[in-house]
Amino acid sequence: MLQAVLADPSLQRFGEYELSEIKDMTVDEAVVSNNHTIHAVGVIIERINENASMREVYNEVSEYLKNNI
Amino acid sequence: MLITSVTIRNFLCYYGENTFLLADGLTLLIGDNGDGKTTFFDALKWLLNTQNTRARLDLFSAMRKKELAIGESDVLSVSMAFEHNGEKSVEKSFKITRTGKGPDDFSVSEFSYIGKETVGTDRIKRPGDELINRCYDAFMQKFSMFQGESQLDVLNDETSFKRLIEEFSNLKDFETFVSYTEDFSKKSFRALKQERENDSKTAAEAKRIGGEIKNAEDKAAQFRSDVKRYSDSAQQYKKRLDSLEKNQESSEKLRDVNSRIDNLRKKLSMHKDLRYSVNLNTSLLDKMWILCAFPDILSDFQKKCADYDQQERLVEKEWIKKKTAERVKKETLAEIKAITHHGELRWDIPDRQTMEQMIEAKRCWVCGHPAPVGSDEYNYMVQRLEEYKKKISPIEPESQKEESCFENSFVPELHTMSIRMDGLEAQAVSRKSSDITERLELEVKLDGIIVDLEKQIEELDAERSRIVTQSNGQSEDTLEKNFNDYMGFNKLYKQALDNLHDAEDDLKRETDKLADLKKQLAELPGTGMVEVYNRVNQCFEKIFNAFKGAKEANLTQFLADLETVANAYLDKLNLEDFHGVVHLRQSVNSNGEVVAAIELRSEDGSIVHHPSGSQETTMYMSVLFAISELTTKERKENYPLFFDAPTSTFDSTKIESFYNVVDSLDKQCIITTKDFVLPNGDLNEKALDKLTCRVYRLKKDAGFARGALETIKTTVTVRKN
Repeated sequence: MLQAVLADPSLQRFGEYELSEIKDMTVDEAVVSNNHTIHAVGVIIERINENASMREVYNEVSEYLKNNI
Repeated sequence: MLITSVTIRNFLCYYGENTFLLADGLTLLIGDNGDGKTTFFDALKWLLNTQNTRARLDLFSAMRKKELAIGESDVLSVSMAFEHNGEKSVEKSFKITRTGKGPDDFSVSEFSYIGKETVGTDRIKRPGDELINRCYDAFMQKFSMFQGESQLDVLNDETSFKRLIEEFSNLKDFETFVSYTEDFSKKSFRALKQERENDSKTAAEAKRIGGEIKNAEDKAAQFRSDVKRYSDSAQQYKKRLDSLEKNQESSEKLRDVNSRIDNLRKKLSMHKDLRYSVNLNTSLLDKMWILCAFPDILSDFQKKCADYDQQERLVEKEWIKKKTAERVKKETLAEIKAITHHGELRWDIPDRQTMEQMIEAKRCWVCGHPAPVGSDEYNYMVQRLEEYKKKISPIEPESQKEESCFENSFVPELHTMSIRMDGLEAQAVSRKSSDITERLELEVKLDGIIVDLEKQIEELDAERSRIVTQSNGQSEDTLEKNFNDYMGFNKLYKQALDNLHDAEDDLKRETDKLADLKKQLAELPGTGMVEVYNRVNQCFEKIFNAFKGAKEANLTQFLADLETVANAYLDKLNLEDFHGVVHLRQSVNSNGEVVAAIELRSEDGSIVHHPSGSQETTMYMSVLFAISELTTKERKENYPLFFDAPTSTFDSTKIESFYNVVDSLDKQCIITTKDFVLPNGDLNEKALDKLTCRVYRLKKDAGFARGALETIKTTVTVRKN
């Protein structure tokens, strides 16, 4: 799923990353990525898989982006 | 999920305990009609039905019930052992006890529905319904247990098929992510808007754009609601049309047949009127029937008259000749006698005038003697004058008659009559006789036409019955109504589509406007946190769109793979026969969800609207097999497939292909069938030897009485392991 989402051309342009960077990338790797877009997607996937609530995930990712974007 | 065994005890024709060990591939249960194939299926369905938790005496083996003495008991049970994340089993059972001598004198007790599962090293009891709902719920049963071919069309139900795809693709997972990220995108936009409105430099402009955004959102919501409404209507009309279309052909045929019957009935009525108008009353027959033979009789009569006339003329000619000869002879003799007679003058000497003068003068001037009145001389002169007069007077009819050859002139009269009758009179009589003949012939002709028309109506009536019988249980009135409904719904459907397109255009326009306004809001000059919120919102929006796109791409890819694999199966199942191409059509339903429907198409892309029974069956089976193959590859949960008599519309080639395909499937399949049973009751061993599957033979025990249910018992034997 991670690759399918990150492969989106528009997201790729916005996040300024290359396809080669995300090839074979795992969710764990995405979560520790320095690229804020890749990181945000990784956290969303990880936290939803952990059954975190919508508010929790939003706050977490939103705070991260506000501080890093 | 893998079913390892099924045990049936005292369930209908399954007397005592019968265990089926099922292969992880194909298991065939072969039996003829009434040998217990469908009962096997029914027993499984009864076991797996979590809603049915009551004992039913009518399910108990009649043979076993008959054997039980008063006070004796026995148990009916159906159980299944299976692998599904560990070993599990489920059993449904109840006990009956005979309470009297009557056929239904039993008490029913101890109903139980128990599941068991192995957890670690422990065997733990579970409620049967809970275990089945967890491992093999009604939805999965619906898509894996097929009784006959007609049940396969569950795949054509849009919602069910969507759920099936969700079950076996990652679609369901994506939906949660899409829903979450959509919410994040909205939240971040609200935060951005708030931040803009709080920024003194852009507050006024942000509020204006914000107001317009609000308006655009309201309008978009309204148009979205319109789209949903019109889409719902269009789908409902389409569903109704599809349903009507199934019978539309029958409706049209019925309408055509009815119209032809009406026309024929009108013709029949007209011909019957004509038939009854043929005047065959007694008067006609009494007065005229005798005239029928008139022309023949007249002809015969004329011929006879002519013959008689000819004969008579010949006879008369002879007679005249003879008489003439006699008269000449007589006259000659008289003349000779007169000449030779002494003192006797010829009758014409003296002549009449002289004679009358002599009588008047009362003197004979021949001899010179006086002849006073009354004297002999006077009397002699008077006599001579009378003789003279007689001689010269015309021939009296009587004397003529006397002299005629025939006393009566019947023959000439008849001949004259026959000639006279041959003219206009004969024609008039002939017309009357031919009128009778024509009327009789017309009657026969009309009778023939009436019989023919009645036969045609009878055939059309039978055709009408056939159409009604073959129209999925629709009555004739319903079919007639369907035809009119179809026209009406078609109009409504087109109208709903037009409205939908208009609403979609409006929605797109408003959505574009909304995007433009959001862009304007995003592009407002801002500093510090406004710009941060702007970037955060853009990021969330991009992430939402990426998840949405990935979900759609995932579905598209899954359907494309499914389509490819399904078509490969379709090809295998239809060797040397037209089978078309399975197409999985994607569409968006009224809830905005992407759904898919199965269609059979020709290679040029046109839809095969009325596939045959076997084409439809193989199409659905191909999709089922393809789902199974793809899910096995992706290590999703696999489910067995049950088919009861799945090949009833198949020809022998297709049957062979079908078993070859299912035999090679990497999937558990249990099929009950009468294929492979030869007309003499033996199994087609040669055909079975080609398969690698496990085979059970189901057979009614010999010696059953045809009218007694309690004598029916199915014997189960393993034919092939």
